[in-house]
Amino acid sequence: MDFADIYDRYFDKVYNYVRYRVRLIDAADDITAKVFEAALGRSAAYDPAKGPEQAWLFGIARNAVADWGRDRGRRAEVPLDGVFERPGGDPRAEDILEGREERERVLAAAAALDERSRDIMALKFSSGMTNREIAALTGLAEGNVGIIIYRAVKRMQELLGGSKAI
Amino acid sequence: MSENEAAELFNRELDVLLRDGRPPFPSHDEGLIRAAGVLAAADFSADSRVREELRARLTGENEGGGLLVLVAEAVNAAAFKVLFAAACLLLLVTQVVRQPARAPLPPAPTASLPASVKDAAPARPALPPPPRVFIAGPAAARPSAGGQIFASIPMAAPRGEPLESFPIAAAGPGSPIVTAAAREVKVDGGTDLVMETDGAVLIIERRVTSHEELFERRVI
Repeated sequence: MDFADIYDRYFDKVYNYVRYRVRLIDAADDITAKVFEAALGRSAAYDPAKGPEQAWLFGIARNAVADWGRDRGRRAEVPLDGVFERPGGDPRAEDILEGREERERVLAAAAALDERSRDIMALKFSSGMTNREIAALTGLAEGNVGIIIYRAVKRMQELLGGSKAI
Repeated sequence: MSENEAAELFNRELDVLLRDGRPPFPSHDEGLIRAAGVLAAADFSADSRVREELRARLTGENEGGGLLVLVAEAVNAAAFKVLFAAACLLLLVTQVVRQPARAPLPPAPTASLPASVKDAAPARPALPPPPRVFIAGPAAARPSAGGQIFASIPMAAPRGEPLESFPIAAAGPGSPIVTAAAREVKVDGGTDLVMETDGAVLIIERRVTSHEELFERRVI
């Protein structure tokens, strides 16, 4: 296994998954680093016959997020206060911040979901895994995964109603 | 349409969106698939502050990272595990083989003292006329110089005068030592005062010393 290749192919996906789960940049950096350190340490034990490498990697990522939540003694989420209010003021500054603001609104909308839905959504939109693979990783039924995604996207559609892209 | 059917349709369209990067047309729920498109397009990875440094560290692009990779690979290598197990086994076997049969211990020697310390002492040569020793009391303690915590208390010079008789004094009640003689001996850096008693020689050393030899300096 070429670890550098794994890193280059999956860093963005793992980081996005972790950001969906914890939202905070510093925490996401710490957790992502732990994921890849653990992956490097266990790379020799990875058996392709047991499943695709993204399932193996995102299994490590899920555990790392769970550990982080346990260590902090809280759910892996952040409050939503003020997130859905668009700031007023200088329109140029607003334009500059638009991309970041849009991403923050997505994260805030994800944070409004329950823990399990957020996990499934993060896997679906970050990992590139199919519903079947997500079901195998999470222990849920494939149909149940589809329902959770459907409901979660509907909920986020409501929350993101003010988004320019929707 | 039931929720299950709607969810199935949506998930099919979502898979197309995620695979092709654009939603299928027409969609059974335009608003919902557009919302999914916003989620799919959201990429937070540019916010990461550790990507390059972590890559360098883990993939061995710098010295420390290389070592980490080597250690991780070595620990993970199956050959390493086999070698480690073999080394442990060898160590265990070696220890067992080397363990000698324990011989019975010899009887412990019995300690005994001479009947008399005086009888056991070697014969002393003839002594010069023994002086009597006086040590004058110290001069009044001087105030600390230079603001130091400790100051020297000057020791009076030992002086002697001939004894009238030998021994000079009988041992007091409970004291087995009788002073037989005392004399000054010049040594490097000072004077030793040698006192001989009935059964032992005591040496009182007088020499230049420093505070640090006598006291431990501590900062309060």
